[in-house]
Amino acid sequence: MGKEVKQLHDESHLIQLLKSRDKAGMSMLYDNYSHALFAVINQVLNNQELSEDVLQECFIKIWKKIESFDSSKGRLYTWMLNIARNLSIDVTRSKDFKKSQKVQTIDNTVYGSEGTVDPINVDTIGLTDVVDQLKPEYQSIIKLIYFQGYTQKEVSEELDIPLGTVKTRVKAAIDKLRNVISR
Amino acid sequence: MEKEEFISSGLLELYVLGALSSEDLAVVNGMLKKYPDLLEEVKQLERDLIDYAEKKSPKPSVGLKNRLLDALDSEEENQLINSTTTEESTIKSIAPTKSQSQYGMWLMMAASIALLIVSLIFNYLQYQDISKAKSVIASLNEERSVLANNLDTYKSSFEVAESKIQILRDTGNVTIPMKGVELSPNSLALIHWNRNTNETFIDIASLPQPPSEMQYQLWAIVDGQPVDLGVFDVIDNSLAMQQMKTIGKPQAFAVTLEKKGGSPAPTLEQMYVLGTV
Repeated sequence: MGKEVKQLHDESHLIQLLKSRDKAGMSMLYDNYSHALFAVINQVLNNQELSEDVLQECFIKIWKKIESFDSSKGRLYTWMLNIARNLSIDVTRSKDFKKSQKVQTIDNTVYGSEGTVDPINVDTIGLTDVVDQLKPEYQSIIKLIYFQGYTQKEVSEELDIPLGTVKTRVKAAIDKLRNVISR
Repeated sequence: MEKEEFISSGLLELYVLGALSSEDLAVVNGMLKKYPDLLEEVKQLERDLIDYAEKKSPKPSVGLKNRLLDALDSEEENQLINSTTTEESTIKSIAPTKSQSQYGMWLMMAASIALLIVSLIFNYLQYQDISKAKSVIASLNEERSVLANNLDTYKSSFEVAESKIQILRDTGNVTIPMKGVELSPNSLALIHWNRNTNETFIDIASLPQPPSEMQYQLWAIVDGQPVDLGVFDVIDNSLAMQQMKTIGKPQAFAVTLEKKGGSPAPTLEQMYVLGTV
């Protein structure tokens, strides 16, 4: 059903609504993208409450900056993705977040979590097992690019693979994803 | 680049993910213009990525949407308030900052010095005017006293003239000129004698100044006998007539030079003027 709603909405009309400061556009935007953007933020912060605060901040920023969005240069979702990722990463750099991460790390150790490298959100266990069918090499490249906002070049350096391989691996990962999701 | 090759390149995926370099981005945008139906592929990739993210995470809380819309409302109100407060603060910032107040101090000092100079010049000019006025007043005072003196002089001479005129106008008066005799042929004096009242005035036209121990004495001849009518002084430049003693029925008048205070009998050798009635 969600898909049908997305299919129906005309993106240029939505952008027009937003640029004319119409809150109906904002409502539509939230309905279509809040879940995905929240997911991206929560992938970085791994904290429901904090991620909701950042999501709100993200939509406020979108509302304020919509004038600077140029659809001839990229997708609206890509543009919003950048805002969400940048805000999340800013939060991870704040002192308060670093402190809370330490506490969380200790908590995780105390409660026998499997480690802090890739914290797992308990609420998403049922879903993640679907996407976790992806090969680890696909998962890591998707995580870096999609959730952490790495560029192609940065991924090539981080994973120590050629630039061309980044492209093909991303394509392969998303092809796999498509199969997994549509199942 | 051919369309199929492009689709399999992975550039579209990176495009949606926002991970392209600016050169690759230009390539993709060029291809999207060239093959508008590639947009469908882009949209599909976008939906896949959105679905993937949604499956990785729970939804945000139900109340968040309304919280956001409320936040946007108050954000707009704040913006309104902010825009007015920034206006206010720009107005306030016109209020003196340190450098501005220093500048103001200098300005005020310069202004007061200028005022002081102006007032000093004004005072000096005023002082000059006042001293000028004072000297004018002084000279006017002097003139005034001179004029007052003159007036006194004129007044007295007028009074003299007036009395003389009264005497002359009096129809009872008889004027008897006394002419100089051998001793002083150029001398002249007039007697104004009133036949009604017997008053006698002497009007000296010309008589030499007597020595200091001597005085002129006027005599009237009545029945051949000299009668003393009193002594008088010669007052220079005076038109005044001097009143002498009264006498009835004179036949002649004469003036002799006598010792000061007068003599009981005239010294005939010292007769200066003589006139008969």
